[in-house]
Amino acid sequence: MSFKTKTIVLLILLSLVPYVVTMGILGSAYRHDMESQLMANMNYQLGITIDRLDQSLLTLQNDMNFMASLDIMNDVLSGDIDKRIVNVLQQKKTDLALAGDFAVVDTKGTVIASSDVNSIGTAFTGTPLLRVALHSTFGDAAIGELLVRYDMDNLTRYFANDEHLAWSLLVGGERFGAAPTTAAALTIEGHLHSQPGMTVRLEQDRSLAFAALDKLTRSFLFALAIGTALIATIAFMVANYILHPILLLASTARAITETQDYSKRVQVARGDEIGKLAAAFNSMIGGMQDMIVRVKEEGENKLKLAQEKNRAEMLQSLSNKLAKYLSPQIYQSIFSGEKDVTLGSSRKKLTIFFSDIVNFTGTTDQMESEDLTQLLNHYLREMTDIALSHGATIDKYIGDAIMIFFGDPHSRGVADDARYCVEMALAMQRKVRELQELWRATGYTKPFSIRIGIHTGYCTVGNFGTENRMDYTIVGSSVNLASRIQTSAAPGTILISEDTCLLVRDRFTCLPVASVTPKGFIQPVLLYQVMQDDLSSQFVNVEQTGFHLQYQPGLLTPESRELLLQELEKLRGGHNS
Amino acid sequence: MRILILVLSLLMLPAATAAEYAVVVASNSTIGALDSARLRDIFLRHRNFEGEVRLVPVNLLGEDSTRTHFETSVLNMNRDELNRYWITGHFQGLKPPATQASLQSVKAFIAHVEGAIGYLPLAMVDDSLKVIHEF
Repeated sequence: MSFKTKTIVLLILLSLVPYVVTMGILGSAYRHDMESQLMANMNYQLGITIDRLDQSLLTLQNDMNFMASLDIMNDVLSGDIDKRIVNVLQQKKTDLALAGDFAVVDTKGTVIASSDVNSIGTAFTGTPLLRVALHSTFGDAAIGELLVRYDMDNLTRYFANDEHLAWSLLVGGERFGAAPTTAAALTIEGHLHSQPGMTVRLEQDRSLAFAALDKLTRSFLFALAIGTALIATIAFMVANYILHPILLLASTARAITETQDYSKRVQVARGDEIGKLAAAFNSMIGGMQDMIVRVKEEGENKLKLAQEKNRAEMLQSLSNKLAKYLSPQIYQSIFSGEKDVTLGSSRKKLTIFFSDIVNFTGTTDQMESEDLTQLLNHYLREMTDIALSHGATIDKYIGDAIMIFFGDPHSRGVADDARYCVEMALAMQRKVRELQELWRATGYTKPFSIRIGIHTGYCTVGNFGTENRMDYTIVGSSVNLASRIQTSAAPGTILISEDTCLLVRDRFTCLPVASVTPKGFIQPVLLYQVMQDDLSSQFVNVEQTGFHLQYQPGLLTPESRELLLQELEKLRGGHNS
Repeated sequence: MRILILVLSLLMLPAATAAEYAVVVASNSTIGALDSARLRDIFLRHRNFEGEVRLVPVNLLGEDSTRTHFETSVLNMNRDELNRYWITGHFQGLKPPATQASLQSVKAFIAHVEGAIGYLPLAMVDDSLKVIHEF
């Protein structure tokens, strides 16, 4: 059952129940009251009628008593030969307009005199209405009776003529007057005071008695039907008035659910609670609309972020892989956005470092490739670690050679770049000497030694190549010069150009060893050897076929130095010779 | 003196005129012959019983000659005297005798009522009646 039906039914019940109950109670009370009134009226009428009957019968009785007291009643004894009694009876009948006859009978029941002369001499028949004993004027014994024969139907003339009332007289089981009613009737009875054997019965048909009430009831039912229809109509309208906005709300909510169109609004122009509900609904839908937009935007943002995160993670992963192929500085520089990965270059003053393994080809020819790979990788790993720890930019590995520069992408100043480069070179030589011991202990009979060349000068630094394949590197004559210096270095030594030396000589001991004109260069270049470690522990270790020269320049006295020079002169002279 | 006159009158009546009327009772009555004095007592209601029999005197109604003759002959009273007598008697509780309207009804009354005593012309007397006095 819908709420609308319930509302209508409830409104009808609320309207009709008190009405019906009130009318029912009033109707019942009215019916009861009416019945009481009817009964009272009937009792009143019955009382009047009985009184009239009693009065009438009493009058008759008195007349008869009077007649019985007359002296002429003595004529009964003589058979009323002179008709005196008959005359009196006839006169009285005339006077009373009696619808019956008086009769005087003797003690044997024979009619002596009667207003109906035909009955004289015969036995009296029937039931007399009244009877009076006759006594002679001279004795106590009864000499006969004065009777009155009366047609009981005539008594009904005392009954009020009312179509609703049925009067009847009951005498000795006989009924006179109205026929008994078969329908349910209101019935009352009363005995005549003068004649207890005579009963007057008054009946009133309920249907007739309550005809007015029934008419009223029909009117009431008709009014009830009209009222019900009216109330139903009003209830329908009220329910519609109440429910229409609610149904509108429901349909709008359903439409919003189905279409997901949160721009819909309910149009209810009312200021009551339902109007407030509609306004609250609209406000709620508005809030939901805003929220959905916000959620959608947030979702899109999150998706974007997730995609970007994935992309970033992918890039991170990719860059991590790339990092192995790039120097950390380059890597950081590129990925921190300081430098775009575009073709382009700039000119900077850098310190360029070259190193290679002395006589690498000759050595490696005698080694198994697995050993060579392990050895080379071990060496490169150690060198790389040292380089990175000094902030170097590893340009590339060229076979056994390593190309490193300082000053790009991060520069600590040209002087410091040079200093860190020289420190790195010293550390590398130290590490190589440690490795030599290690390798020797491991079984490599001819461990490596490396030579290092360093130069400081202007270079062009940047990405070179094509858009599809580019290389971050440096180019310029300084690079060539550094490479040439490296090839000029003796095994286990570090040669630096004058440019570099000028930058680091306050920290390192640099000895001028030669002035060379590298291939491709016009001007001779003065080369310095960096004294490794402190002067007191510096070794010169030259090992070649046929000799192994090792000395410590820092410990050389002028005498020993002179001796060494002499020996070398001897060697030179011997060689020349 | 009055009694003397009455006796003389009575003695003279049969000689003067033959009796025409009779005081009668029912033929089966136990009442025997009565003299005028006794009849007078009975009809003036001084005497109500004759032996065991309750007496019921009966008069003719009105101015009938028989009654007049009876009153003058037997009762020795005219109508005015009688009227005065019964008016006085009314206050003393005396009621005049019952009346009948005709000689026939008197005859029938006497024949039917026990103790009834009345007067009739002799010509009307038959077997049903018994004459107890003639006048």
